Amino acid sequence: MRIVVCVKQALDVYNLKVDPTTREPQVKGAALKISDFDKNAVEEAVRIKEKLKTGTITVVATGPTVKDAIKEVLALGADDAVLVQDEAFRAMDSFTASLVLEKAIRTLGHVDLILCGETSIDAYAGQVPPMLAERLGFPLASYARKVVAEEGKVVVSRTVEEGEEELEVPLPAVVTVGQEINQPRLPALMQILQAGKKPVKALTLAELGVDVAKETKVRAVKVLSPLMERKKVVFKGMPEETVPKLVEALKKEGLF
Amino acid sequence: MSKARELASSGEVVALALGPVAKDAEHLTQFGANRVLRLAGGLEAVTSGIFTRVILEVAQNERPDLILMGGTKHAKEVAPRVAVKLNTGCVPNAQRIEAKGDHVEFDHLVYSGNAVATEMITSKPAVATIAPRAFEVKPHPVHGKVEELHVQVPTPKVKVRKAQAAVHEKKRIEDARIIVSGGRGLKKKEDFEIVEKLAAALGGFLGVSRPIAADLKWKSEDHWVGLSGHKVKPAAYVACGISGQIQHLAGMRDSKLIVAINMNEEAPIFKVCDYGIVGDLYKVVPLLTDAVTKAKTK
Repeated sequence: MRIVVCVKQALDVYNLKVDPTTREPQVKGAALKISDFDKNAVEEAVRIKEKLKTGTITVVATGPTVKDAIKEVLALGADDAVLVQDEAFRAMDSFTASLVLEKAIRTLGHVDLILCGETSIDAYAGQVPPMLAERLGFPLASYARKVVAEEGKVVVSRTVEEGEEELEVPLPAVVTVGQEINQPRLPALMQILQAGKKPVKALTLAELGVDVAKETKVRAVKVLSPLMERKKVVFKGMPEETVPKLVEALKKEGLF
Repeated sequence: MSKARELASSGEVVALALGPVAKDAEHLTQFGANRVLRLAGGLEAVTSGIFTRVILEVAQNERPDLILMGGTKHAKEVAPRVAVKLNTGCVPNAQRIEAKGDHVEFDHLVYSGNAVATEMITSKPAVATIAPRAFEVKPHPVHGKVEELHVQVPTPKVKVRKAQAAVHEKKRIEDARIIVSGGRGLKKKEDFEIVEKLAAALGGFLGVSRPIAADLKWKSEDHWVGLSGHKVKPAAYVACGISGQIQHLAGMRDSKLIVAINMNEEAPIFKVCDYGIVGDLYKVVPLLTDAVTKAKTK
Protein backbone atom coordinates (compact mmCIF):
# COMPACT_ATOMS: atom_id res chain seq x y z
CA MET A 1 0.00 0.00 0.00
CA ARG A 2 1.32 3.42 -0.94
CA ILE A 3 0.44 5.87 1.79
CA VAL A 4 0.88 9.64 1.49
CA VAL A 5 0.79 11.81 4.61
CA CYS A 6 0.22 15.56 4.21
CA VAL A 7 2.19 17.58 6.73
CA LYS A 8 2.04 21.30 7.40
CA GLN A 9 4.68 23.41 9.04
CA ALA A 10 2.38 25.77 10.92
CA LEU A 11 2.68 28.83 13.14
CA ASP A 12 3.55 27.76 16.66
CA VAL A 13 0.35 29.13 18.16
CA TYR A 14 1.36 27.96 21.63
CA ASN A 15 4.17 30.50 21.66
CA LEU A 16 2.56 33.32 19.72
CA LYS A 17 3.15 36.81 21.16
CA VAL A 18 0.40 39.39 21.01
CA ASP A 19 1.08 43.13 20.85
CA PRO A 20 -0.84 44.41 23.90
CA THR A 21 -1.71 47.77 22.33
CA THR A 22 -2.79 46.74 18.84
CA ARG A 23 -3.92 43.20 19.89
CA GLU A 24 -2.24 41.92 16.74
CA PRO A 25 -0.53 38.54 16.99
CA GLN A 26 3.15 38.89 16.04
CA VAL A 27 3.15 36.54 13.06
CA LYS A 28 6.20 37.92 11.29
CA GLY A 29 9.23 35.89 12.30
CA ALA A 30 7.12 33.83 14.74
CA ALA A 31 8.27 30.31 15.55
CA LEU A 32 6.98 27.46 13.41
CA LYS A 33 6.26 23.84 14.24
CA ILE A 34 4.88 20.73 12.58
CA SER A 35 1.12 20.85 13.14
CA ASP A 36 0.24 18.45 15.99
CA PHE A 37 -2.48 16.44 14.24
CA ASP A 38 -0.18 15.78 11.27
CA LYS A 39 2.13 13.81 13.55
CA ASN A 40 -0.86 11.64 14.49
CA ALA A 41 -1.39 11.09 10.74
CA VAL A 42 2.25 10.00 10.27
CA GLU A 43 2.02 7.72 13.29
CA GLU A 44 -1.18 6.12 11.93
CA ALA A 45 0.49 5.54 8.54
CA VAL A 46 3.41 3.82 10.29
CA ARG A 47 1.03 1.63 12.30
CA ILE A 48 -0.89 0.61 9.17
CA LYS A 49 2.37 -0.25 7.42
CA GLU A 50 3.60 -2.25 10.42
CA LYS A 51 0.36 -4.21 10.52
CA LEU A 52 0.35 -4.96 6.79
CA LYS A 53 4.12 -5.67 6.88
CA THR A 54 4.38 -4.00 3.48
CA GLY A 55 4.00 -0.62 1.81
CA THR A 56 5.68 2.76 1.58
CA ILE A 57 4.99 6.05 3.33
CA THR A 58 5.70 9.31 1.53
CA VAL A 59 5.35 12.58 3.38
CA VAL A 60 4.25 15.60 1.36
CA ALA A 61 5.22 18.58 3.48
CA THR A 62 4.70 22.31 2.99
CA GLY A 63 5.90 25.34 4.92
CA PRO A 64 8.14 28.42 4.98
CA THR A 65 11.21 26.55 6.33
CA VAL A 66 10.03 22.97 6.01
CA LYS A 67 13.43 21.72 4.80
CA ASP A 68 14.75 22.23 8.32
CA ALA A 69 11.79 20.49 9.93
CA ILE A 70 11.41 17.40 7.74
CA LYS A 71 13.93 15.21 9.60
CA GLU A 72 11.69 15.21 12.65
CA VAL A 73 8.82 13.86 10.53
CA LEU A 74 10.92 11.25 8.72
CA ALA A 75 12.25 10.00 12.07
CA LEU A 76 8.69 9.02 13.00
CA GLY A 77 8.90 6.27 10.38
CA ALA A 78 8.09 7.68 6.92
CA ASP A 79 10.19 6.39 4.02
CA ASP A 80 10.70 9.51 1.94
CA ALA A 81 9.44 13.05 1.50
CA VAL A 82 8.40 15.61 -1.07
CA LEU A 83 8.80 19.19 0.11
CA VAL A 84 7.40 22.47 -1.08
CA GLN A 85 9.11 25.29 0.77
CA ASP A 86 7.91 28.86 0.31
CA GLU A 87 7.28 31.95 2.45
CA ALA A 88 3.81 32.10 0.84
CA PHE A 89 2.73 29.24 3.14
CA ARG A 90 2.67 31.67 6.09
CA ALA A 91 -0.67 32.98 4.86
CA MET A 92 -2.08 30.68 2.20
CA ASP A 93 -5.81 30.00 1.87
CA SER A 94 -7.16 26.43 1.84
CA PHE A 95 -8.09 26.67 -1.83
CA THR A 96 -4.47 27.30 -2.85
CA ALA A 97 -2.89 24.97 -0.29
CA SER A 98 -5.08 22.08 -1.47
CA LEU A 99 -4.04 22.82 -5.06
CA VAL A 100 -0.34 22.67 -4.11
CA LEU A 101 -0.90 19.31 -2.40
CA GLU A 102 -2.90 17.95 -5.32
CA LYS A 103 -0.16 18.84 -7.79
CA ALA A 104 2.62 17.51 -5.55
CA ILE A 105 0.74 14.23 -4.99
CA ARG A 106 0.12 13.84 -8.71
CA THR A 107 3.92 13.76 -9.27
CA LEU A 108 4.01 10.53 -7.21
CA GLY A 109 1.99 8.36 -9.57
CA HIS A 110 -0.34 5.80 -7.99
CA VAL A 111 -1.26 6.31 -4.33
CA ASP A 112 -3.69 4.27 -2.22
CA LEU A 113 -4.31 6.26 0.92
CA ILE A 114 -3.80 9.91 1.82
CA LEU A 115 -3.73 10.63 5.54
CA CYS A 116 -4.03 14.18 6.93
CA GLY A 117 -4.45 15.77 10.34
CA GLU A 118 -8.12 16.78 10.69
CA THR A 119 -7.14 20.41 11.11
CA SER A 120 -4.00 22.53 11.54
CA ILE A 121 -3.05 24.25 14.78
CA ASP A 122 -2.82 27.68 13.13
CA ALA A 123 -5.66 28.05 10.62
CA TYR A 124 -7.81 25.51 12.49
CA ALA A 125 -10.05 25.37 9.43
CA GLY A 126 -9.93 21.69 8.46
CA GLN A 127 -10.71 22.64 4.86
CA VAL A 128 -7.65 21.39 3.01
CA PRO A 129 -8.36 17.63 3.26
CA PRO A 130 -11.94 17.85 1.88
CA MET A 131 -10.75 20.17 -0.89
CA LEU A 132 -7.88 17.80 -1.71
CA ALA A 133 -10.25 14.83 -1.88
CA GLU A 134 -12.52 16.73 -4.24
CA ARG A 135 -9.62 17.84 -6.45
CA LEU A 136 -8.34 14.27 -6.73
CA GLY A 137 -11.83 12.79 -7.08
CA PHE A 138 -11.20 10.54 -4.05
CA PRO A 139 -13.75 9.64 -1.38
CA LEU A 140 -13.27 11.30 2.01
CA ALA A 141 -13.62 10.17 5.62
CA SER A 142 -12.78 12.79 8.27
CA TYR A 143 -12.30 12.70 12.05
CA ALA A 144 -11.12 9.06 12.15
CA ARG A 145 -10.72 7.57 15.63
CA LYS A 146 -9.73 4.20 14.19
CA VAL A 147 -8.52 3.15 10.75
CA VAL A 148 -8.36 -0.51 9.68
CA ALA A 149 -6.92 -1.38 6.28
CA GLU A 150 -8.70 -4.17 4.41
CA GLU A 151 -8.42 -5.42 0.84
CA GLY A 152 -8.93 -2.39 -1.42
CA LYS A 153 -10.52 -0.31 1.33
CA VAL A 154 -10.18 1.18 4.80
CA VAL A 155 -12.75 1.01 7.56
CA VAL A 156 -12.98 4.27 9.50
CA SER A 157 -14.66 4.70 12.89
CA ARG A 158 -15.61 8.22 13.89
CA THR A 159 -17.93 10.30 16.08
CA VAL A 160 -20.16 12.97 14.55
CA GLU A 161 -23.02 14.95 16.14
CA GLU A 162 -25.49 12.27 15.09
CA GLY A 163 -23.54 9.51 16.83
CA GLU A 164 -20.92 6.87 16.08
CA GLU A 165 -20.28 5.90 12.46
CA GLU A 166 -18.32 3.13 10.84
CA LEU A 167 -17.51 3.94 7.23
CA GLU A 168 -16.24 1.64 4.52
CA VAL A 169 -14.08 3.73 2.21
CA PRO A 170 -12.82 2.33 -1.11
CA LEU A 171 -9.22 3.19 -2.01
CA PRO A 172 -7.74 5.49 -3.13
CA ALA A 173 -9.14 7.77 -0.44
CA VAL A 174 -8.43 10.76 1.81
CA VAL A 175 -8.75 10.09 5.56
CA THR A 176 -8.23 12.67 8.31
CA VAL A 177 -7.32 11.81 11.89
CA GLY A 178 -7.64 13.58 15.22
CA GLN A 179 -5.39 13.56 18.26
CA GLU A 180 -7.32 10.70 19.87
CA ILE A 181 -6.33 8.11 17.31
CA ASN A 182 -2.85 7.43 18.66
CA GLN A 183 0.12 8.72 20.61
CA PRO A 184 2.93 9.57 18.14
CA ARG A 185 6.11 7.73 19.10
CA LEU A 186 9.24 9.46 20.28
CA PRO A 187 11.90 8.46 17.76
CA ALA A 188 15.05 6.77 19.09
CA LEU A 189 18.46 8.22 18.29
CA MET A 190 18.97 5.54 15.62
CA GLN A 191 15.80 6.62 13.80
CA ILE A 192 16.80 10.26 13.97
CA LEU A 193 20.19 9.43 12.46
CA GLN A 194 18.61 7.32 9.72
CA ALA A 195 16.09 10.06 8.94
CA GLY A 196 18.90 12.24 7.62
CA LYS A 197 19.65 9.65 4.93
CA LYS A 198 16.08 9.20 3.65
CA PRO A 199 15.32 10.55 0.15
CA VAL A 200 13.89 14.08 0.10
CA LYS A 201 12.72 15.74 -3.09
CA ALA A 202 12.17 19.49 -3.15
CA LEU A 203 9.62 21.04 -5.50
CA THR A 204 8.87 24.72 -5.97
CA LEU A 205 5.52 26.42 -6.46
CA ALA A 206 6.73 27.46 -9.91
CA GLU A 207 7.57 23.86 -10.82
CA LEU A 208 4.10 22.82 -9.72
CA GLY A 209 2.59 25.64 -11.77
CA VAL A 210 0.83 27.30 -8.83
CA ASP A 211 0.49 31.08 -9.01
CA VAL A 212 -0.50 31.95 -5.43
CA ALA A 213 -1.76 35.47 -6.15
CA LYS A 214 -3.95 34.18 -8.96
CA GLU A 215 -5.38 31.20 -7.07
CA THR A 216 -6.13 32.88 -3.72
CA LYS A 217 -9.86 33.11 -3.05
CA VAL A 218 -9.95 34.13 0.63
CA ARG A 219 -7.99 37.23 1.58
CA ALA A 220 -7.12 38.34 5.10
CA VAL A 221 -8.42 41.74 6.18
CA LYS A 222 -7.07 41.62 9.73
CA VAL A 223 -6.29 39.26 12.61
CA LEU A 224 -6.83 40.31 16.22
CA SER A 225 -6.41 38.48 19.52
CA PRO A 226 -9.25 38.81 22.03
CA LEU A 227 -8.72 40.87 25.15
CA MET A 228 -8.38 38.75 28.26
CA GLU A 229 -8.93 41.03 31.20
CA ARG A 230 -9.30 38.89 34.27
CA LYS A 231 -8.89 39.50 37.96
CA LYS A 232 -6.40 36.66 38.43
CA VAL A 233 -6.84 36.43 42.20
CA VAL A 234 -5.17 33.12 43.03
CA PHE A 235 -5.26 31.70 46.58
CA LYS A 236 -2.43 29.48 47.78
CA GLY A 237 -2.11 27.50 50.97
CA MET A 238 -4.01 24.81 52.87
CA PRO A 239 -7.47 24.02 51.42
CA GLU A 240 -9.00 24.85 54.84
CA GLU A 241 -7.79 28.44 54.31
CA THR A 242 -8.15 28.89 50.57
CA VAL A 243 -11.67 27.46 50.13
CA PRO A 244 -13.38 29.97 52.52
CA LYS A 245 -11.59 32.82 50.72
CA LEU A 246 -12.87 31.61 47.37
CA VAL A 247 -16.40 31.13 48.74
CA GLU A 248 -16.35 34.74 50.04
CA ALA A 249 -15.21 36.02 46.65
CA LEU A 250 -17.87 34.02 44.78
CA LYS A 251 -20.56 35.30 47.14
CA LYS A 252 -19.50 38.87 46.40
CA GLU A 253 -19.74 38.07 42.69
CA GLY A 254 -23.34 37.07 43.34
CA LEU A 255 -22.88 33.46 42.33
CA PHE A 256 -24.95 32.19 45.26
CA MET B 1 -31.80 30.78 7.81
CA SER B 2 -32.17 33.98 9.82
CA LYS B 3 -28.72 35.27 8.85
CA ALA B 4 -29.34 34.41 5.20
CA ARG B 5 -32.67 36.28 5.30
CA GLU B 6 -30.99 39.34 6.79
CA LEU B 7 -28.11 39.31 4.28
CA ALA B 8 -30.38 38.73 1.28
CA SER B 9 -32.30 41.90 2.18
CA SER B 10 -34.99 42.06 -0.53
CA GLY B 11 -33.30 39.28 -2.49
CA GLU B 12 -34.21 35.64 -2.60
CA VAL B 13 -33.35 32.99 -0.02
CA VAL B 14 -33.47 29.40 -1.22
CA ALA B 15 -33.42 26.70 1.44
CA LEU B 16 -32.11 23.29 0.53
CA ALA B 17 -33.72 20.62 2.70
CA LEU B 18 -31.80 17.40 2.18
CA GLY B 19 -31.62 15.59 5.49
CA PRO B 20 -34.43 14.76 7.95
CA VAL B 21 -35.46 18.44 7.75
CA ALA B 22 -37.03 17.64 4.34
CA LYS B 23 -40.07 16.23 6.16
CA ASP B 24 -40.83 19.64 7.61
CA ALA B 25 -39.76 21.71 4.61
CA GLU B 26 -42.77 24.03 4.83
CA HIS B 27 -41.58 25.23 8.23
CA LEU B 28 -38.55 26.95 6.64
CA THR B 29 -40.81 29.54 4.99
CA GLN B 30 -41.50 30.79 8.54
CA PHE B 31 -37.84 31.83 8.69
CA GLY B 32 -37.68 33.67 5.42
CA ALA B 33 -37.20 30.99 2.74
CA ASN B 34 -38.76 32.21 -0.52
CA ARG B 35 -38.30 28.73 -1.95
CA VAL B 36 -37.58 25.46 -0.24
CA LEU B 37 -36.04 22.78 -2.41
CA ARG B 38 -36.74 19.31 -1.12
CA LEU B 39 -35.26 16.11 -2.38
CA ALA B 40 -38.04 13.77 -3.39
CA GLY B 41 -37.67 10.61 -1.35
CA GLY B 42 -34.94 12.09 0.85
CA LEU B 43 -31.39 10.87 1.00
CA GLU B 44 -30.70 7.31 1.98
CA ALA B 45 -26.98 7.41 2.58
CA VAL B 46 -25.81 10.56 4.29
CA THR B 47 -22.24 10.89 3.07
CA SER B 48 -20.36 14.07 2.29
CA GLY B 49 -19.84 12.97 -1.30
CA ILE B 50 -23.57 12.70 -1.96
CA PHE B 51 -24.38 16.01 -0.26
CA THR B 52 -21.63 17.63 -2.32
CA ARG B 53 -23.00 16.32 -5.63
CA VAL B 54 -26.57 17.44 -4.87
CA ILE B 55 -25.53 20.90 -3.64
CA LEU B 56 -23.29 21.38 -6.67
CA GLU B 57 -26.13 20.61 -9.04
CA VAL B 58 -28.45 23.04 -7.25
CA ALA B 59 -25.72 25.72 -7.15
CA GLN B 60 -25.19 25.41 -10.89
CA ASN B 61 -28.89 25.96 -11.53
CA GLU B 62 -29.52 28.66 -8.93
CA ARG B 63 -26.25 30.65 -9.23
CA PRO B 64 -26.32 32.02 -5.65
CA ASP B 65 -24.06 34.77 -4.30
CA LEU B 66 -23.63 33.02 -0.97
CA ILE B 67 -23.97 29.43 0.25
CA LEU B 68 -24.32 28.91 4.02
CA MET B 69 -24.32 25.65 5.95
CA GLY B 70 -24.63 24.88 9.66
CA GLY B 71 -21.34 24.16 11.43
CA THR B 72 -21.77 20.40 11.84
CA LYS B 73 -18.99 17.91 11.19
CA HIS B 74 -20.77 16.69 8.06
CA ALA B 75 -21.16 20.24 6.73
CA LYS B 76 -17.47 20.93 7.38
CA GLU B 77 -16.68 18.07 5.02
CA VAL B 78 -19.18 19.26 2.42
CA ALA B 79 -18.66 23.05 2.27
CA PRO B 80 -14.96 22.98 1.24
CA ARG B 81 -15.69 20.31 -1.38
CA VAL B 82 -18.50 22.40 -2.86
CA ALA B 83 -16.30 25.52 -2.85
CA VAL B 84 -13.33 23.95 -4.59
CA LYS B 85 -15.54 22.50 -7.32
CA LEU B 86 -17.19 25.92 -7.85
CA ASN B 87 -13.72 27.51 -8.02
CA THR B 88 -14.44 29.76 -5.07
CA GLY B 89 -13.43 30.46 -1.46
CA CYS B 90 -14.77 28.95 1.73
CA VAL B 91 -14.63 30.08 5.37
CA PRO B 92 -15.22 27.75 8.34
CA ASN B 93 -17.21 28.55 11.49
CA ALA B 94 -18.17 32.10 10.56
CA GLN B 95 -19.27 34.12 13.60
CA ARG B 96 -19.89 37.35 11.66
CA ILE B 97 -20.97 37.70 8.04
CA GLU B 98 -21.35 41.00 6.25
CA ALA B 99 -22.20 41.70 2.63
CA LYS B 100 -19.90 44.46 1.38
CA GLY B 101 -20.92 45.36 -2.15
CA ASP B 102 -18.77 43.17 -4.38
CA HIS B 103 -17.52 40.86 -1.65
CA VAL B 104 -18.53 39.14 1.56
CA GLU B 105 -16.62 39.59 4.81
CA PHE B 106 -16.39 36.95 7.53
CA ASP B 107 -14.98 36.66 11.06
CA HIS B 108 -13.83 33.30 12.36
CA LEU B 109 -11.43 31.95 14.97
CA VAL B 110 -7.87 31.07 13.98
CA TYR B 111 -4.62 30.11 15.77
CA SER B 112 -6.40 27.35 17.72
CA GLY B 113 -8.85 29.94 19.02
CA ASN B 114 -6.18 32.49 19.97
CA ALA B 115 -7.32 35.12 17.48
CA VAL B 116 -10.19 36.24 15.30
CA ALA B 117 -9.47 36.61 11.59
CA THR B 118 -11.48 38.92 9.38
CA GLU B 119 -11.37 37.64 5.82
CA MET B 120 -13.08 38.38 2.56
CA ILE B 121 -14.19 36.27 -0.35
CA THR B 122 -14.41 38.10 -3.67
CA SER B 123 -15.22 35.06 -5.80
CA LYS B 124 -18.81 33.88 -6.23
CA PRO B 125 -20.55 32.16 -4.62
CA ALA B 126 -18.90 32.75 -1.25
CA VAL B 127 -19.21 29.54 0.80
CA ALA B 128 -19.20 29.30 4.61
CA THR B 129 -20.17 27.10 7.49
CA ILE B 130 -21.46 29.04 10.48
CA ALA B 131 -20.37 28.73 14.11
CA PRO B 132 -23.03 27.10 16.29
CA ARG B 133 -25.32 29.72 17.84
CA ALA B 134 -23.45 32.61 16.28
CA PHE B 135 -26.63 34.14 14.90
CA GLU B 136 -29.99 34.72 16.47
CA VAL B 137 -32.96 32.76 15.14
CA LYS B 138 -35.64 35.24 14.10
CA PRO B 139 -39.05 34.20 12.75
CA HIS B 140 -39.70 35.89 9.42
CA PRO B 141 -42.76 34.39 7.73
CA VAL B 142 -42.92 34.74 3.96
CA HIS B 143 -45.19 33.26 1.33
CA GLY B 144 -42.60 30.75 0.25
CA LYS B 145 -43.20 27.62 -1.75
CA VAL B 146 -41.86 24.12 -1.47
CA GLU B 147 -40.49 22.59 -4.67
CA GLU B 148 -39.48 19.02 -5.31
CA LEU B 149 -35.90 18.69 -6.44
CA HIS B 150 -35.24 16.34 -9.33
CA VAL B 151 -31.57 15.51 -9.34
CA GLN B 152 -29.82 12.28 -10.12
CA VAL B 153 -28.37 11.07 -6.81
CA PRO B 154 -25.26 9.03 -7.61
CA THR B 155 -24.33 5.81 -5.78
CA PRO B 156 -22.18 6.77 -2.80
CA LYS B 157 -18.54 5.67 -2.85
CA VAL B 158 -18.38 5.60 0.94
CA LYS B 159 -20.61 3.01 2.59
CA VAL B 160 -21.99 3.61 6.07
CA ARG B 161 -21.48 0.18 7.65
CA LYS B 162 -22.80 1.04 11.07
CA ALA B 163 -24.41 4.14 12.53
CA GLN B 164 -25.25 4.25 16.17
CA ALA B 165 -27.39 7.26 17.04
CA ALA B 166 -26.09 9.30 19.94
CA VAL B 167 -28.23 9.61 23.03
CA HIS B 168 -27.99 13.30 23.86
CA GLU B 169 -28.36 15.06 27.20
CA LYS B 170 -31.76 16.74 27.60
CA LYS B 171 -30.16 20.05 28.45
CA ARG B 172 -27.52 21.65 26.27
CA ILE B 173 -24.29 22.86 27.80
CA GLU B 174 -24.57 26.16 25.90
CA ASP B 175 -27.73 26.96 27.89
CA ALA B 176 -26.19 26.37 31.32
CA ARG B 177 -25.80 29.40 33.59
CA ILE B 178 -23.03 27.69 35.54
CA ILE B 179 -20.60 25.07 34.25
CA VAL B 180 -18.29 23.00 36.47
CA SER B 181 -15.67 21.19 34.41
CA GLY B 182 -13.21 18.41 35.10
CA GLY B 183 -10.05 17.50 33.23
CA ARG B 184 -7.05 15.27 33.43
CA GLY B 185 -6.48 16.20 37.05
CA LEU B 186 -9.09 13.51 37.76
CA LYS B 187 -7.38 10.15 37.83
CA LYS B 188 -10.28 7.85 37.07
CA LYS B 189 -13.80 7.91 35.66
CA GLU B 190 -15.46 7.33 39.05
CA ASP B 191 -13.70 10.41 40.48
CA PHE B 192 -15.90 12.63 38.34
CA GLU B 193 -18.43 12.27 41.11
CA ILE B 194 -16.40 14.88 43.02
CA VAL B 195 -16.88 17.44 40.26
CA GLU B 196 -20.49 16.41 39.62
CA LYS B 197 -21.33 17.06 43.28
CA LEU B 198 -19.97 20.61 43.04
CA ALA B 199 -21.94 21.11 39.81
CA ALA B 200 -25.08 19.92 41.58
CA ALA B 201 -24.45 22.19 44.59
CA LEU B 202 -24.06 25.20 42.29
CA GLY B 203 -26.98 24.15 40.09
CA GLY B 204 -24.60 23.83 37.18
CA PHE B 205 -23.90 21.57 34.21
CA LEU B 206 -20.91 19.23 33.97
CA GLY B 207 -18.21 20.13 31.46
CA VAL B 208 -15.07 18.23 30.46
CA SER B 209 -11.86 18.87 28.53
CA ARG B 210 -10.88 17.15 25.29
CA PRO B 211 -9.02 14.15 26.76
CA ILE B 212 -12.01 13.18 28.91
CA ALA B 213 -14.55 13.25 26.06
CA ALA B 214 -12.43 12.34 23.05
CA ASP B 215 -9.52 10.18 24.24
CA LEU B 216 -10.83 8.49 27.37
CA LYS B 217 -14.55 8.77 26.49
CA TRP B 218 -15.42 8.96 30.21
CA LYS B 219 -18.18 11.47 29.38
CA SER B 220 -20.13 12.10 26.17
CA GLU B 221 -19.22 14.86 23.75
CA ASP B 222 -22.27 16.78 25.00
CA HIS B 223 -20.02 17.81 27.90
CA TRP B 224 -16.92 18.66 25.86
CA VAL B 225 -15.90 22.32 26.18
CA GLY B 226 -13.37 23.57 23.65
CA LEU B 227 -12.73 24.66 20.12
CA SER B 228 -13.65 21.25 18.69
CA GLY B 229 -16.29 20.64 21.37
CA HIS B 230 -18.83 23.19 22.58
CA LYS B 231 -18.18 26.90 22.85
CA VAL B 232 -19.81 28.21 26.03
CA LYS B 233 -20.28 31.53 27.79
CA PRO B 234 -21.92 30.86 31.16
CA ALA B 235 -22.19 33.32 34.05
CA ALA B 236 -19.55 31.22 35.81
CA TYR B 237 -17.13 28.57 34.63
CA VAL B 238 -15.34 26.48 37.26
CA ALA B 239 -12.37 24.48 35.90
CA CYS B 240 -11.19 21.63 38.14
CA GLY B 241 -7.96 19.91 37.20
CA ILE B 242 -7.86 21.52 33.76
CA SER B 243 -4.47 22.93 32.77
CA GLY B 244 -5.90 25.25 30.12
CA GLN B 245 -4.76 24.18 26.64
CA ILE B 246 -5.46 27.03 24.22
CA GLN B 247 -8.14 25.01 22.42
CA HIS B 248 -9.95 24.60 25.75
CA LEU B 249 -9.60 28.30 26.60
CA ALA B 250 -11.09 29.16 23.21
CA GLY B 251 -14.21 27.26 24.20
CA MET B 252 -14.81 29.08 27.50
CA ARG B 253 -12.99 32.40 27.31
CA ASP B 254 -16.22 34.39 26.97
CA SER B 255 -17.52 33.16 30.35
CA LYS B 256 -18.47 36.02 32.64
CA LEU B 257 -16.51 34.62 35.60
CA ILE B 258 -13.76 32.01 35.46
CA VAL B 259 -12.66 29.99 38.50
CA ALA B 260 -9.72 27.58 38.39
CA ILE B 261 -8.63 24.82 40.75
CA ASN B 262 -5.34 23.18 39.86
CA MET B 263 -2.32 21.55 41.52
CA ASN B 264 0.16 23.22 39.22
CA GLU B 265 0.73 26.89 39.98
CA GLU B 266 2.19 27.35 36.48
CA ALA B 267 -0.90 25.99 34.68
CA PRO B 268 -2.05 28.41 31.92
CA ILE B 269 -5.58 28.35 33.33
CA PHE B 270 -4.43 30.66 36.15
CA LYS B 271 -3.53 33.34 33.59
CA VAL B 272 -7.13 33.55 32.38
CA CYS B 273 -9.06 33.08 35.63
CA ASP B 274 -10.76 35.59 37.91
CA TYR B 275 -10.32 33.45 41.01
CA GLY B 276 -8.19 30.40 41.54
CA ILE B 277 -6.97 27.96 44.12
CA VAL B 278 -3.61 26.24 43.83
CA GLY B 279 -4.22 22.89 45.44
CA ASP B 280 -5.27 19.27 45.21
CA LEU B 281 -8.74 19.15 43.68
CA TYR B 282 -9.46 15.93 45.60
CA LYS B 283 -9.32 18.01 48.78
CA VAL B 284 -10.38 21.45 47.53
CA VAL B 285 -13.49 20.51 45.54
CA PRO B 286 -15.30 18.51 48.29
CA LEU B 287 -14.62 21.34 50.76
CA LEU B 288 -15.90 23.86 48.25
CA THR B 289 -19.01 21.72 47.64
CA ASP B 290 -19.75 21.63 51.38
CA ALA B 291 -19.20 25.37 51.75
CA VAL B 292 -21.47 26.15 48.79
CA THR B 293 -24.19 23.82 50.10
CA LYS B 294 -24.01 25.48 53.54
CA ALA B 295 -24.03 28.99 52.11
CA LYS B 296 -27.05 28.18 49.97
CA THR B 297 -29.11 26.64 52.77
CA LYS B 298 -28.54 29.61 55.07
